[in-house]
Amino acid sequence: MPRNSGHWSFGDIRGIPLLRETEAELVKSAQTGNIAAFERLVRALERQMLAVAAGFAHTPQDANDIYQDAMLAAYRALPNFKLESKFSTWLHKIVVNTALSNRRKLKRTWQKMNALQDEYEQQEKYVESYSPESATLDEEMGQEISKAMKRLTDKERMAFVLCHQQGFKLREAAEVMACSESSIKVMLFRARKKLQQQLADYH
Amino acid sequence: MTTTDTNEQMEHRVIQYLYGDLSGSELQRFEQELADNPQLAQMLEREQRFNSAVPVGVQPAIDEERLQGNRWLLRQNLQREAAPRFSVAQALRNLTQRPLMVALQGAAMAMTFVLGLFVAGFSTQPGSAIDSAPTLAQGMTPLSLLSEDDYEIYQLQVNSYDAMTGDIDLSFSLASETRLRGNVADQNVSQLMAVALQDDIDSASRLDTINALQPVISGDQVYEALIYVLTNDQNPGVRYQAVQSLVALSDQERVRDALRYALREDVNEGVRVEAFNALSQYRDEETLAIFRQKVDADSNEYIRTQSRVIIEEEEGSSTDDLIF
Repeated sequence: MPRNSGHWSFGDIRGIPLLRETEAELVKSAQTGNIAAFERLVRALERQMLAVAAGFAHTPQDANDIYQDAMLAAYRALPNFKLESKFSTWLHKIVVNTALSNRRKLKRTWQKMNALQDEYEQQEKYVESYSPESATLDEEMGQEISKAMKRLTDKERMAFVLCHQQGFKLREAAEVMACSESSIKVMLFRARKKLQQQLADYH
Repeated sequence: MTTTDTNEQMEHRVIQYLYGDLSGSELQRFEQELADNPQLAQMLEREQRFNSAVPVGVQPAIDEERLQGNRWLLRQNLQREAAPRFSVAQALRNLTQRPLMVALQGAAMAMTFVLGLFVAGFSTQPGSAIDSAPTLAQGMTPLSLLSEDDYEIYQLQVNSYDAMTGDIDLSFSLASETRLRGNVADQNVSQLMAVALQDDIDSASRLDTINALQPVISGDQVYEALIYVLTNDQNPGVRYQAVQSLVALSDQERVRDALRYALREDVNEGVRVEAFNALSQYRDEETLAIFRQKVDADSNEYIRTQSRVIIEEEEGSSTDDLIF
C-alpha cells in the first residue's frame, strides 16, 4: 500500500543500525544534489515503483527502462518539489507520466511488432501481494493478465494499476492522475469490464 | 433520472464498495440497497467473481535480483547525471562576467599542464604505451601509461573561496583516454586490469575484463580482484562471471571462503549453483554447515536436493565409520 508515516525505518544492514530520518530531511538533502539521500528516499519505494512501471510496460526490460527514466526525471525535478504532497505520491506521478510518454513513443513500433511480440516476448510474473505468503500467480493466468492489460486504454490501465494492483484509494489515484474521483471510477469500471471479457475463462 | 444515469451511479457505488471507499453510513445504505435491488446485487456478484480470479493486490512480481540490478544501474545513472558537464560557451560567458575567475581558471589550466608534464615524466619509455606492446616496470602505476596529450579536467569543484583575499581551494580529477596493447600474460597488464575491476568501470567492461583475465587467474592480485567482485559487485552477471573463474581455484581456502559467502548470501541462483558445485568437492565442516541450512532454506531446487544428498552421504559415511 502506498503509505508512509513520514518516518522511515530502514532496519539494519549487516548488523549496523541505520538512522531514522524524516522524509522531509531526506528530501531537503536530496534537493541539494545528495545522491545518497535520494537513493534512501527511493529505496523505500523501489519495489512499488517497479511494479507500477511493470503494470504499464510491454516487457520486464521496458519496465526497468521506465523505472530508470522516471527516477532520473525525479532526481532532476526534485529541487522543484515543495513537500506539500507526499513524496510517494509525487514519485508515483512521475513514474506514471514517464510510463505514458514511453508508451506513446513506442506505440507505433509496438503496433507493428505486436503480432510477433505476443508470442515471443517475455512476460511479467504476477504475485498476490496481500496474501500472507505473497503467492506467485499461476504462470498461465499471469500471461493472460499481461495480454488483457494491453487492451486497456492508457487511462483505464492507469486506474487499474493504481487502484487494483497497488491498492490506492480512489482519491489518491485521482491525485496521481490529476483528474476527478468520478473519472477514476468510470475508468476503473471500464478496465474491469474489459478484463472480465478477456479473462472470462478464469472467473 | 435516466436508466443510464442509474447504471452509472450503481457502477460508481460498486466500485466504491469494492475498493473500500464508502463511509460507515454509505456502506449501510449500500447493503440495504443490495437487498432491495437485484440488478445491483447481480452487478456486485459479477465484480466479486472477477476479484476472486484477480484479487486486489495482484501485481507484477519484482524479485530481489531485479531490484538489486536496478539499484545498481540507478546509482550509475545518478552519478553520471550529477557529474558537472563542461560547456565552452557557458564557460566563456562566465569568464567575461567574472574577471577573477579568468585568473583562477588560467592558473588551474597551467597547473594541469605542469601536472601533465610531471606525470608523463615518470614514463620510462615515452610514448610506448600507446601503440607498441610495453613491458611495464615492476611497481609502475597506471599513471605511467598516460601520455602528455589529451588530458581533461572533470569534476572541478571550488571547495572554498575567499573573495577578499582571492584564496581558493580547488579539487578536480584528471582523465585521459589511453590505449595499451600488450598481452594479458604480462603481469603488469593483468595487474592493471585487476585493479580496474575494483574501480568504477561499466559492467560490460568488467565482464570483458574478467573474461580476459581467466587464463591468468592464479596471479595473486587477479584472484583477489575476482573475490572482491564476487562478494561486492552489484551486477549479477559480473558476479556470475567471477564465480565461474574462481571455481578453478577452489582448492584455495581463501577462494572457498568467498564461495561459501556467495552460496550463503548471493541472491542470484546461478551464482549460488556455481559456488555450490565447486564447494561440493570440499566437504569440510564449515561447508557442510551451510549445506545443512540449504537443505530447506534455498529457493533453488537443485541446491536443496543436492545438499540433502551430500548431507545424507556424509552422515551415512560417519555412521559407517562408527560401525567399523
